[in-house]
Amino acid sequence: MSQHNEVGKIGEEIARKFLEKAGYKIIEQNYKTKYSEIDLIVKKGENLVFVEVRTKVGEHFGTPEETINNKKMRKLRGNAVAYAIIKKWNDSFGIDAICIVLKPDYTVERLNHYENIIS
Amino acid sequence: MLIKVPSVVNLGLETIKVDVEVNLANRGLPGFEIVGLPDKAIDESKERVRAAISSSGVDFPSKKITVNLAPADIQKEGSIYDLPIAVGILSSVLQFSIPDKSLFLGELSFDGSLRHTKGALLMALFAKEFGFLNIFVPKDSANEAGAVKGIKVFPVENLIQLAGYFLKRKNIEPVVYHKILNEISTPVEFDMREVLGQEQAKRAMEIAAAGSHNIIMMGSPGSGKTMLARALPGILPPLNETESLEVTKIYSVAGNIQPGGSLITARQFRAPHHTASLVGLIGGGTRPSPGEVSLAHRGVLFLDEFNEFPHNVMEAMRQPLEDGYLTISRSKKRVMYPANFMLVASANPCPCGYLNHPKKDCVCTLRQIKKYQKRISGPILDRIDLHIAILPVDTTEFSNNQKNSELLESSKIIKQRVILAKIRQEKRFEKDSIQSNAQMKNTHIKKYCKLTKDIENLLHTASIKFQLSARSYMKTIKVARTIADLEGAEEIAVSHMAEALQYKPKIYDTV
Amino acid sequence: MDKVIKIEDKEYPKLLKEIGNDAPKKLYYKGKWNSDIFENCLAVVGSRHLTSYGKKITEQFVTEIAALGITIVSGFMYGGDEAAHSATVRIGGRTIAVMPCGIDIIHPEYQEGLYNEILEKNGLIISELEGKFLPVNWTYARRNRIVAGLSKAILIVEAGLNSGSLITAKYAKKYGRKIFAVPGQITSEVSKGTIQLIKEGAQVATEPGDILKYYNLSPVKTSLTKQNLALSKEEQKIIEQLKREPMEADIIARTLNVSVVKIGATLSLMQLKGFINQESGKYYVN
Repeated sequence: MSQHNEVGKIGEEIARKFLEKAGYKIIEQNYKTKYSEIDLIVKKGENLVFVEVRTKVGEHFGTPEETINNKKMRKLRGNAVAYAIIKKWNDSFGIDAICIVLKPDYTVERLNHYENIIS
Repeated sequence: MLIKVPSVVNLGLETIKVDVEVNLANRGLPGFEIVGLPDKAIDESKERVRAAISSSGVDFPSKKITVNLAPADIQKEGSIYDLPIAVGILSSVLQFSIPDKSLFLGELSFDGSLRHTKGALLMALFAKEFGFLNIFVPKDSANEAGAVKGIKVFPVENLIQLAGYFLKRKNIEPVVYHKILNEISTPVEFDMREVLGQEQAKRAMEIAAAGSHNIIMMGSPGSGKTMLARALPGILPPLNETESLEVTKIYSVAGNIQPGGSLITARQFRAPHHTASLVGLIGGGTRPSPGEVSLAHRGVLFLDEFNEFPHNVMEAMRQPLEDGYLTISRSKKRVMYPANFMLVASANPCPCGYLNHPKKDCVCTLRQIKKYQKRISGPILDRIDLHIAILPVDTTEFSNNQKNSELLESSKIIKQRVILAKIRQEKRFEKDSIQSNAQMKNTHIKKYCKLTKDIENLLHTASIKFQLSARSYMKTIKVARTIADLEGAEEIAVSHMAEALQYKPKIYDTV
Repeated sequence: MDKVIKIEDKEYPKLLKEIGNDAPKKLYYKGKWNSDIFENCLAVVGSRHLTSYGKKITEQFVTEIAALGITIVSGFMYGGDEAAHSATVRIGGRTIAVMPCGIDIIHPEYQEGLYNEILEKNGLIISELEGKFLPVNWTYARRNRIVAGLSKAILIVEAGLNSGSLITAKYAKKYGRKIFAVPGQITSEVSKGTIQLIKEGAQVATEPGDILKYYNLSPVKTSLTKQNLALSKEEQKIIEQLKREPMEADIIARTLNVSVVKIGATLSLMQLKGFINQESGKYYVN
């Protein structure tokens, strides 16, 4: 279990750096409430974006993309709406996903940023 | 006096030589016995031989006649030894000798004439392989044997004729070897041009035909699934020489060749009902006989109302779908039948059948729908690459323009593309053990389906958006490869992959 | 030791007491009793034969309403009730499930996962009946009055004629509670009940805001960002078609007189880019 969390944390860090480099402002990281957990909440210009980060070491047991299923997407949407309501955000928001595959030495094999995965 | 009349036994598609030893003894009570592990039908053979000889105007000898079918430990089929037994007896009575290197096979009627008998083609192939020069078979079975070059096939009408031939009083012309004709236009039930609408479904059929992909159609009753399935053989290329021989062998052994029939050159279309027995579908029984899956070899197996087929039948279909052949175990032997077919399945989308129907309401609850679709999952669904939804088409909505549009292609045109795609696959897999894109395993995909970064990203996005499982991912790549082949493209392009995603599994798909 | 609240206790829900003689004398419960959960309740009931439309609407409405702190009350039955409870726990809101059976049974029993989640997210399971009392047809109707009694208003998403949901609505009317109904297709069996309610004077609800207003809450004005990628000519043509009417791939191809090969590829790409979606075989603009 600890290894799983470790990989996840590494992935989130990589994702965070990636987004910062791409001009996003980090608002929250690992936002946990009694309702939900959101990996990254960022802002680019006037756009509020909720980012789900999925990381895997190697793709032998499946791609990180595969772990985002319908149920998860509905949950993400719900979390996003809940946050937006609490923070009284009256503009639009988007939900992105960042999927990272790491090499055995934990360096990045590939990183894919999927924008607006829920429409 | 002992006479040996050579014949054969077919165990599945394997042919083994049988010696019919006929002994007529002067001593001992007159009688007629057959030994050598015959089944009940061989006992009946005695009656037929006796009657046939008498009908031919020859007195049945009142000697002690013993017939031995050697080797003794192989179970032999019933009626095919009538002829060799009769020939053995006649040769002793009428004093003629049987030509060297000859094989005999055939069922007799009471009046001395020969009836169409199973397995003539296999005996002909066996004769050629093992250096026999002549085979004597019933006239109605001679044409299928005539497909084998290099041996003399004598079509025998009745015993009198045969005896006359051996006594050099009559002549029997051997059947002329006929090459396989390039294209026998077999009557196809439906031309694709007759199917109005269903554009995506027709395209999916084209892709299925080109790459030998298995396909499932989901639609309400009466939406046209059966019609589409029956139009499929029309866009399949004709069987080549090897395939034709394979299929004819199976049909010969199954007794499915019409009297006087020759080689089968058209792809066969088999549509067993879901109430068919396991043996009927897979094969088996006392012989054992080939089942529907083998009769569909190199052709199409259509399973209508796919979800109605019992689980044990679906389980038994795993082997043929995976390996392309079937093994049936008997107490004495193991028989292998080829079963390399294209599977076309059709199913209702829900218990009432009218989910997403444009005019009728679906009365099923969400739970019922989920449960129903779950039942369709399983080992077979795993092997299906193309999923297509069939919605009923209101043909009255079609203007004359649309009915004559260029976009409405005939089967002939579609077939041309399919043939070209198949040629590309033949070339591609020259050094591999597979023949079609559908058969590709991960190693083949890695080798022959290199994807650009763009396309990989597309697939990854599709993974999320369309909930593609790992298996579906691979299937989509194979389908894209076939789409590219249909276009004549060496590399898989974005448009090919994008189109392939249209046919992804839409029903319950477990990873 | 059963957990029970009696009608004379001060923790007994006020609104429920107001229904008078009909009010249950005892309320058995599971979970942590917390009076404020009863402050703002909305009953959400829906047909057992919930359609995918009904499910979607229930989820959308409940997600927004529960997120603003309103407690969702329902009957734990499969279909509409289940959808309401699920949507609430998914967003971390509070929900009360009123059972038609003894407090110690879970009915339907295969929804045990949901049962536990409700309790985990600080919801309540309530029943008028103790122990392992099995549900029978009259216990459902009795349960419905509690659902109506606890709530300020009731939202009915789908209901057939003469259905349990209509019974709950009847109680709500009797107790003077506000009734909201969602209109569906007039040909749909499970919208016939809701349409009847509307004819009889229920308020039409077409967005969560309609209900939130009644609770003096303003709806979230936020929405998902629209894509602003450029559309190719073919894609534009398709969007125009779909804006007029959602349709299947074959029909799009026929109408635009383009081969289904091209249309197929284009539709897949448009879906991946988020411009269109496919549901029940038809494509529609996002």
